[in-house]
Amino acid sequence: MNRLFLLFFCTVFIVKLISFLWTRKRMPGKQQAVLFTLYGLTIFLFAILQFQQTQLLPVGHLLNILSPHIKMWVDQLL
Amino acid sequence: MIHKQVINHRQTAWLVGNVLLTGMLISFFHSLAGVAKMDAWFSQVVPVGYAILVAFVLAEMTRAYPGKNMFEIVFIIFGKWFGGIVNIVILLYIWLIICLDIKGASKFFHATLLPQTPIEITLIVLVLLIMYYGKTSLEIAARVNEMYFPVFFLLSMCMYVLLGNEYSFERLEPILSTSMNRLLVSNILPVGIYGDIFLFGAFLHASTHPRLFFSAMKHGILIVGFTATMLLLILLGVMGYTIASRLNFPMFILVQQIHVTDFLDRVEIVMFSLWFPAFAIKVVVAYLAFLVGIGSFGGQAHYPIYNFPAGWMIAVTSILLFQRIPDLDMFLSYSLPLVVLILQLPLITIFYIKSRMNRKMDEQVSMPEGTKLYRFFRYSVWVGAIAMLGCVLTILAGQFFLDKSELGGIVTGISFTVLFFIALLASYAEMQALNHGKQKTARKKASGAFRQ
Repeated sequence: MNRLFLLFFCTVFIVKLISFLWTRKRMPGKQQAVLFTLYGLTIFLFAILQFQQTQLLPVGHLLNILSPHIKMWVDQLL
Repeated sequence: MIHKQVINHRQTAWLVGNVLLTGMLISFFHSLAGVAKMDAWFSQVVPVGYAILVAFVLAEMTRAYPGKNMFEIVFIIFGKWFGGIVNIVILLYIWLIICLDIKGASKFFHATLLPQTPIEITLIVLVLLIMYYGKTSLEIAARVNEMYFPVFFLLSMCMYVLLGNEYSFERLEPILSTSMNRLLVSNILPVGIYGDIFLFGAFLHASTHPRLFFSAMKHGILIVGFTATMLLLILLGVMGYTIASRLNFPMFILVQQIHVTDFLDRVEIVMFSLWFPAFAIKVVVAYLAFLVGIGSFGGQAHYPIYNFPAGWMIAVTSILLFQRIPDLDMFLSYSLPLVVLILQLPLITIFYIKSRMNRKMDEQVSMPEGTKLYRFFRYSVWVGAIAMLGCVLTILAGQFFLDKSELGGIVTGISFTVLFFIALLASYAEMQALNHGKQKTARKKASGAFRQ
């Protein structure tokens, strides 16, 4: 992964996360929960991204699990 | 924040046009050329009909639940818990659209125009751009779209002239000679792209006149149908279906074929300078829909508060998804239509039934019956419907009744194009009639009577 991207992404993320943790007391509970979920998901997915993409979560494979079958079915139909 | 968004009929039509058209220009046409061969330009009729059906249901929802967006309506219809699950599924679908577009555009730019720039940088620039718009509202995106979409549309139409010296009509012949199965499949594949019309459900609160909203969306859909038909006609006429079906980015190569004179070279830079802002608006619309959806879970009044974490999460997932262009293309062509049909068909059926049961606004059109304008409106609706039906009949007649002669093919091809264009003009007339009716009714309320 590009180092410039990594530096920029992590710096901005940490700054924004600290700012959120600092101001979260003034937010309604529901809003806090949604924001926590979004930040949590970003951290989780970013951790996955640091390994080979197919090692921890083969997202591309999961999304395309049906495509070859549909293509095959379409080819047979034609 | 959310309730300040109001967009007019023209902005709605052009936004719909932008959202549906720009997404299919990256790589989608090559799948159509692979399936329907030289008749791929007949592939827009069924998806146009499907998108009009979804637009109709969305307008019905506006009539039954005025001032509410789709996510709020889902909570009303399905309740807190099951509604939450349905909304999460819709959010996942919107997230998929955003990731597909961002990754597709990044891959496209990396492979064609910016080969030295790391793909993560192209991707983060696009994410930062949509996050900038995420601080604003749909109104801003609609206004920016008003600058770029007409130019983009006109340039797309001008390609027929610009590529005139490369064009050969023989590459389209014999017209309508591929099997009915191929034509049918080529008409189902674009449903995945046309399903993006569902995004406008997130902005139902921005519509004040349901019938005008529907007409505007219908006009936008027909702009897309006609433009895509023309672009496919140009693509197949310049390259032929064999080359078009084997290229990853057929439209890029098509634009590169423009050689008007020796000094007018690299026209694709100009074309893509216009295409990129128009495409960015499409991603912005999807992103705003995503923010509105997230907002429905945690206090929707100020959705920009979710802008940063949502944008950063989309950046990470966009990098994670679709490592190769064929993966992305395969998903777009074969899985997305299935996802759209499985997700949207049950939802729009339930939405339609519930909306009919709870209809609050009975007024169909904002003008009195019997007036000249009303008659013109009815006439436009009927002409549009008959023209679209004529398109279907032309294809069927070309397939089953006419011989596969050169003359028969030309007659069906020209009839199809003319009828599609008439449907487009009729949808414009319908939209304008409704808008004038709305303005006259507003004036009548102030003073005077409605002119007969």
